[in-house]
Amino acid sequence: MSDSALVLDNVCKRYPGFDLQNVSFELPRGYIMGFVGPNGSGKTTTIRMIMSLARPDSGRITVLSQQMAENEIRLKQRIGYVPENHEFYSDMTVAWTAQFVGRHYPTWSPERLRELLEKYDVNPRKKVGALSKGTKAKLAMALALAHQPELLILDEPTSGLDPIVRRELLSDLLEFVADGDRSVLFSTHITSDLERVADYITLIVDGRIAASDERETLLERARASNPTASIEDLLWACAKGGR
Amino acid sequence: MNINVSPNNPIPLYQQIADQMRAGILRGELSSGDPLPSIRQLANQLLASVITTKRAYSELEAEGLIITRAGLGTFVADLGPDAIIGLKKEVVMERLEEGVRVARQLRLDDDETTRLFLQALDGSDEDV
Repeated sequence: MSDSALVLDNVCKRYPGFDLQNVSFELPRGYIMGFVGPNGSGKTTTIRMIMSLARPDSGRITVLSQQMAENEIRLKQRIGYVPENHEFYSDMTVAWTAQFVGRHYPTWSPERLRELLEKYDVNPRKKVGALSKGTKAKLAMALALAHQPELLILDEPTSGLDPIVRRELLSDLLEFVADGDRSVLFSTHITSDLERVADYITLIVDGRIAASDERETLLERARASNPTASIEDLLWACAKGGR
Repeated sequence: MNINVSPNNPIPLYQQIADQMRAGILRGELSSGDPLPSIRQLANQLLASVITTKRAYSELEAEGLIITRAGLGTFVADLGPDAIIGLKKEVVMERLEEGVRVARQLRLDDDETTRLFLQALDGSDEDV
């Protein structure tokens, strides 16, 4: 267990009209996991529980070998989190926003941020409200990386981005895990993103985990019956089979 | 050497990587003792996952084409010219056997298959 970046063990959460049931999966350190499911299947709810923004009714969440519930602040400082909707103050500049975020992290590196903004071509003097959608996504990514986290959690990081920016982001994820110790969990419904970079895939349908395994293993199993099965086919089969 | 992979290709990604590296080694573009990029470097370069790349390497390792020395990295194995020829034959034979299997499945007689084979060698595919 100590080799895992993230372990969810039978996590349950009941909302009126929707519940997450016995969500369990494990992400080993040094790898990228894609978290896939149709809209409304529970991806964001699960991620919010990992980030302790919602409390599970039962079950355990272990992040970087520690219990989130007991070490929330210290653990969050080791996680880079990019939520689905970037909440920035649109009248403030990129530089101000960075300073505002950086105050919360003892490991914040202004040099690293400068490098990232330069690489992503984000002008620090611009107001955040004036940035394009793609540039805002890059800013969110830069802010998540500047405190040098051990685990990156991204909620739909590629949705609405053009193919060039998407590829750049995927390549950054690979670079992030290149040291063999840092890990990534990213949710998406763009299954083609997973076909390249995801080592592990967890499929969630209607609040239940339909499958969670190495991507190649999942595909191989699916290809026994359909030789050209893709992750999209798998998702389709799980979604249709469950209803 | 240059490797290109595409998730749109129905051949699994790890197979695409292994096939191209194998071809590179057998054609002599990579020679005995040449260092190969680390799994994580190559994954990054190809925009492919770490496990995919690892699998390509283990396949080539199982075939004896590359070797990993703990702490030093991965290298092209020490293959003599005879071994290279043997491996080339093995790769081609596998494809030919696949052709024979299809021919027999379709109940084409062996003389006809032989003619097709010679035609394929000529590069003339008229009257197939």
